[in-house]
Amino acid sequence: MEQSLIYLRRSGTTEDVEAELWDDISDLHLDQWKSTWVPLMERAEARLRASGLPKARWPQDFHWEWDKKTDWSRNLLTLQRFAITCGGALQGLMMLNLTKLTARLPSQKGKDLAYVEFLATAPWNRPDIAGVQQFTGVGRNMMRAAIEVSRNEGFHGRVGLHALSQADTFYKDACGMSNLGSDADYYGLSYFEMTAAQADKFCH
Amino acid sequence: MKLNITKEWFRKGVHLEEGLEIGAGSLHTITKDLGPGPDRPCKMNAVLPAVNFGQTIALLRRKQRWTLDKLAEEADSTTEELHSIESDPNYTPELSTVCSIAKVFKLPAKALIQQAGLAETASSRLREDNVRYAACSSFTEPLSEEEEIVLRAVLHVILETTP
Repeated sequence: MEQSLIYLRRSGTTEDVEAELWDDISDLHLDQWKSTWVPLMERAEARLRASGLPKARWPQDFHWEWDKKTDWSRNLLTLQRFAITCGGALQGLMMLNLTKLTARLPSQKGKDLAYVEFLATAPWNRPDIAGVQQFTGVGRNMMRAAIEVSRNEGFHGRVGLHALSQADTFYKDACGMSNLGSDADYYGLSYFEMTAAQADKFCH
Repeated sequence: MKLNITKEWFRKGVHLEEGLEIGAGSLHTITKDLGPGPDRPCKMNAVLPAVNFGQTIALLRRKQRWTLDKLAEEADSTTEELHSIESDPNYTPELSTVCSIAKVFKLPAKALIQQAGLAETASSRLREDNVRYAACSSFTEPLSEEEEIVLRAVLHVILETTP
């Protein structure tokens, strides 16, 4: 497993700190997920339940079980996993699928792309969970990793994903991806796609 | 895989992420024995699972030609929760959701609670009933003739085991 030096920003400041991008999800990462993310997610879920907020407005990844996802993906060569750590804490997880979907945008229809199967940041980086955001930049780094994987595979940086409903703005505005609208086959989530040109612009 | 990500590049756009959610995913729960969904091609020769609680709900929903969204609306649940129920055999549903689903489908809540594994006294017959069915239709397709038979068999067991 290799690690790359990356940076995360302390939210609300301009201080950028060194972090690590790992090209796999290790058992240690899963232990951290279980011991640090899960309890916070459960507490947040209990809080939302008590508040009476309709479930439809709860974060959609409350029930993601990264241990199962990782176990499942380890035997599949077409799936690649990434983790981000900073200060010894797990900050983000991502899983890419290199064969799941082909491009849908007319300009690149049918061409291979890297599909973001799952992407999540730590609860303490999520305003909807923690109320504040400790670090910003997990998304930017993970998208960069997805683009680089796509390029390595000869997909020229093409990336596709279904954004959880609270995350449309990030993929549209911060990543410059094309929003192809609600996808009925994926529970109405918006499908976003990045072209080679958009990838070049994002990485520039 | 080693990446060369510079601080300069990171600084160029990180401010655009401030305050935003970044989650992405297909909402499909990953399990080895998950039946085919919209994104999982049907393998006709795959070993067919015993009917569990989630599969029962999927059959009941599809019998009504309802989407997950529609069932979520009827049962005051969420699409994600119902998807977990239908596709992840290890998922433990909330008691309130199981009761709501029972009400929606006009079934005895007690039997469904038992089948969902939420009761200590779960009927072994409900738990271990080895009726098998082909889970090879996509989520919104009407039930096949075989699935209709399975659903009738499952409902028969549920109603028979309810005092």
